[in-house]
Amino acid sequence: MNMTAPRTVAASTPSPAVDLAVQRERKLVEAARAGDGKAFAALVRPHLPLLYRLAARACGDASLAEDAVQEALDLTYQRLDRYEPGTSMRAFLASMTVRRAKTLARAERRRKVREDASATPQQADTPAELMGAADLKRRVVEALAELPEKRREAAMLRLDGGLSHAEIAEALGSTERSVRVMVHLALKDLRGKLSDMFGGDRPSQPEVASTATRSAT
Amino acid sequence: MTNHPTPQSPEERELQEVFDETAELPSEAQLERMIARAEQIPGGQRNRRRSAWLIPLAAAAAVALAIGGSAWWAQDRENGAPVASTATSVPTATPTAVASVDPKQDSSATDDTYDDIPVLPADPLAVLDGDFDNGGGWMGELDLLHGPAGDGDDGFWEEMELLMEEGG
Repeated sequence: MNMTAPRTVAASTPSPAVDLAVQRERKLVEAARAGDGKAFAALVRPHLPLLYRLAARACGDASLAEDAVQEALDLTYQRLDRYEPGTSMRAFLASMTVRRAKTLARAERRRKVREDASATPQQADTPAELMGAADLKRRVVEALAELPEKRREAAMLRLDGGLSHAEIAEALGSTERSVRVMVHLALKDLRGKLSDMFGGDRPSQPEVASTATRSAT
Repeated sequence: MTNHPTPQSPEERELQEVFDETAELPSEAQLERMIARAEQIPGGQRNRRRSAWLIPLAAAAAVALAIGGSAWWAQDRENGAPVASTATSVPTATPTAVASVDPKQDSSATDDTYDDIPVLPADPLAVLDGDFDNGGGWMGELDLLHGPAGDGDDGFWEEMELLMEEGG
């Protein structure tokens, strides 16, 4: 990931408030690099819900999300010297999280394959369950999984991470123009795969709303 | 709903809704746990880095010990202290002859050098024939390891004689 070119994301002409924010972030980064755990936590804290959401989507398994975030934060700290205060910490963290989550999910899949090979077959989900919230989530994850890797990452960073095209470009080490194309193609593919969720075929709102769960501990 | 920094097309907004509705969000407890774990990261990595120094340090210590040990060993050899046999000082006796000697009784093992060890004759069978100039016969074969009679191994032979007398 190319984090060398500083780029202000909050505004093209930095306001005093932005300057203060950058100064605060710089202090936190310096303190964290010096080993201050609270400074590091303060630096990443505002982004944790987003990182968790990204990790859960990238893993396709919410139970792995917390570990993925932890590993991403570990990696972020190791590479903190590459971060330039004033650029997008959100993009910096998001790209680490998506990649760590992907690695973790791959390892988990391998583990499950090994376990399933020796385990007794389990009863399949009932049709009612398949129609439920879990199915909706699974379909989104599957639709994402069918996308080429770069497009998938771009789509997740856009729709789950809420990143701008410029931030996605920074996170993926690409250009903004390429990212615009990638996001466009990814969204087109996703809409095609999830077409029945839009318009008249879409599940009713209360049913769908219930799927935006907050995981119980 | 994700608050986007850039405007979205109506199609993207629709898809955004689906993503928002199917998103997993952390509970308060999970958030607190993640924050607590994040606080530990700098300290944990610093400890790991500190521990990482121990590996080359231990390796350097091992190398220093090895060098020091070999220097001490070499100095001991110069001073005439017992040394392990080297390629140049290994007796050329046959393995069977070596095996036939009781190390406890082998007084030559405490000798400073192996200078007294005779060289095998050109024809090793001459030893068995008793023609070797080290005493001849089977006793001569043993002498291959103990050196010629009267070279300081008398104690061993005296002991042997006593044993033979007792046995006889």
